[in-house]
Amino acid sequence: MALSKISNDMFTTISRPNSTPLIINGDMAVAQRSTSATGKTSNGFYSCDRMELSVSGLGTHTIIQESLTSGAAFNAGFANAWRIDCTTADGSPGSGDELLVQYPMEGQDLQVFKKGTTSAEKWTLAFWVKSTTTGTGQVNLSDMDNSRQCSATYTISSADTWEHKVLNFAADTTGAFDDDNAESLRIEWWLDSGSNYEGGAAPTAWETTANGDRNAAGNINIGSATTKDWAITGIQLEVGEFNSSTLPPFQHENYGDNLARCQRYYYRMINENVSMGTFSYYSSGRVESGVSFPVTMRSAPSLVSTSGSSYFRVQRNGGDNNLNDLSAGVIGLNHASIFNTDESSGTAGHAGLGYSRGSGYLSWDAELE
Amino acid sequence: MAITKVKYITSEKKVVYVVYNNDNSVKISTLVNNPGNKDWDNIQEWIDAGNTIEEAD
Repeated sequence: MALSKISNDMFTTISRPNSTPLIINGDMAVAQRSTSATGKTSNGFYSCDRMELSVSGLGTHTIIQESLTSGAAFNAGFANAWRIDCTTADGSPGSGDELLVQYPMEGQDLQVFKKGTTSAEKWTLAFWVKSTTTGTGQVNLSDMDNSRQCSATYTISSADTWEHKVLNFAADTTGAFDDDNAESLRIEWWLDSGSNYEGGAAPTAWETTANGDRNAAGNINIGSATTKDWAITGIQLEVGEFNSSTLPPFQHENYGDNLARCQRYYYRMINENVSMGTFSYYSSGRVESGVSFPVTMRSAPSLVSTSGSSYFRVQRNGGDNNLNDLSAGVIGLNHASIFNTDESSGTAGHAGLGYSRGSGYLSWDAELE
Repeated sequence: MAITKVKYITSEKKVVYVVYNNDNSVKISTLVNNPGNKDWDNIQEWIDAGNTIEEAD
């Protein structure tokens, strides 16, 4: 049948130069490390992938992948959030203390912003946020290549209520991002700080990084009381300037695509009590196996192996060889080898089935930090 | 987190163990001379501060 008409009403024009979301795991669906991590007093990626807690001397916190079942963010299509609960408060932080959550990005993924050129683009950052505390939060785009920053603020108008925020950031004709796999941009949501990070003014134009401006406008002080918590989801970074009416819709990815993009930075290879595949004995005292990563890693990753009595086992030749941990041999972007020489006991040339036991797990970490 | 020990895994000196805060509940292996890897970057700072990687057993 010949096409006779296309109605313009069927189409919506979206100005979006990127084909996939610039923010990975913006819906907080993937949490390879843990859904809940308690007692956190130092920097790390603890729960939802790509979301890093940065804390120094400012309380103790639980980091959670929160399951949403109601509220405006849930109604907008978000079933998960990254949440921080203060469990030990510090109402009088030292001058250099800090508490923030940050999202790091590779320079090669940011070239679309044309930063450092006369054609530099503006930025729009949108997200859903909920907090026990009303007040003002400061968000910074921090240029890690050129030590520059630009800020915007948002208001928590109602406690314990999901609110959608759309923030605009200026274009920057100074300081191009490196076109590589290193960290060029860090998005910072400040939650609390000491005086070193206050006292200035939140810069709405790009400037040379000044610590006193980094949380100059924020006052939600999440580390100041154990009654306080803060949560975020639906993080969306767009090229250009949008408001709540013109913002393109959040690009929901299926879980598999989302997980694969996260695995470029962190790959939980095995959790407790699962098979690790085939191992072979190079000698009685060395058992080893090859590993293929599901996606190309950002950089040659570190192997993180839990270590404890008989956390791993190789079944070989009608018996068991218990291992306490595993080490990395050769490490590449796509493949690596793992081995044990401390507890290995077998016959050269024999093979066996490896698996984890108890609290044994292996992960490969190539996160930006 | 503070590095408390770094040791070559084998005499080939291609991979090291790194221990943070004397925490031996995890064993972290990372490639030598791997800038951009957070563990190696931490080790490089630790070396620059005057520390030395232990030889392999």
